[in-house]
Amino acid sequence: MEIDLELERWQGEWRAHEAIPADLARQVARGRRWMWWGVASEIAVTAVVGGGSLGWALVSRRADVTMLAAGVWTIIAIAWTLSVLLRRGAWQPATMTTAAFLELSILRCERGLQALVAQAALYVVILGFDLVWLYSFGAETSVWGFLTRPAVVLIAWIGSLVAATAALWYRRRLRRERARLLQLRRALEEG
Amino acid sequence: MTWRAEPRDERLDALLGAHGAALGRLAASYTRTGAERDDLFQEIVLAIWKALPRFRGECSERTFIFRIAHNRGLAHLVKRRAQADGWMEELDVASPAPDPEQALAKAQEGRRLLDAVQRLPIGYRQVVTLTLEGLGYAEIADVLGITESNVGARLTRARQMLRQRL
Repeated sequence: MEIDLELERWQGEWRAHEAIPADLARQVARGRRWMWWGVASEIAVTAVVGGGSLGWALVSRRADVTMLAAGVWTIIAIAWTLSVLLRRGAWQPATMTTAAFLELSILRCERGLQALVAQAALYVVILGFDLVWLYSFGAETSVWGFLTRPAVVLIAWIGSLVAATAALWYRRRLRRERARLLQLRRALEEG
Repeated sequence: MTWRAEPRDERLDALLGAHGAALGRLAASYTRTGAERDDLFQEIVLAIWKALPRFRGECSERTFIFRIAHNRGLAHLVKRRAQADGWMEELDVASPAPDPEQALAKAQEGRRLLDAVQRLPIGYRQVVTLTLEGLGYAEIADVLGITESNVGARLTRARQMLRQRL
């Protein structure tokens, strides 16, 4: 069997590098904790908002509050359904090849962009529902008077502006990431 | 195989004991600085830890961890902030001008090969790093999701480029 001396020499030089960071266990443990916090916060938001509205409806026994709870849970159901639909085919099996990983990353970017549109639509629905509910069961008689109340201006209009700005920034980031992934795919295909 | 019998942390420790140095070298091939390499290495280890419960021995242990490592490396390349021409250099042919930190390191004998590998186009770099870790054509094809003939062609071209730089 022919011995590849050049490759053997390179392998020896290459493997002389150990390059393992110190204190690895602590750093990996920190990464794990952040992962659990992300999952816990998603569940907490659903539990607080959904559970809170349901609890309020049961305690108060008011028709308007019951309607609010029904609306909240309808929106939660829509949000979770969209989340499941947008994640279809985009989960990552442990033994994925790098070629397949690249395709999945591109798909995830595209789904992320679709999700932004869905989230914007859902936000409009939530905002509309909340404003209609507040107006219908509040003391305000004038629509303009209601829409220009300081709390409404702050939360609905300024809050929407902030949310829209964040969404546009994230959209731009996703599109840049998708462009880089497509370049990477081209480079690997040509390689 | 007794994958299910071992707790996840012990399995991870065993994997790192066997392949940790290789993963560190692989992370170094995707990064420019020591700090960046350490960050990527941690991402790789965390990704392996998360993937372990779903691994049922469909491929070899080496294939499993190198797939994850290269996938994290690609994700790192995409997410890293780079200048426009610097980004293209990652994919194509890197600039011959090293930064001051790397210039000092390059003076050391052992860094020559790593520096040369870091400056290979990404498709060649992947094949070379796996070859240097002792993987054969079939295993490299399995990790990267390409054909064995593609592995051979890339490796031949990559070796030519390395010879020119070393």
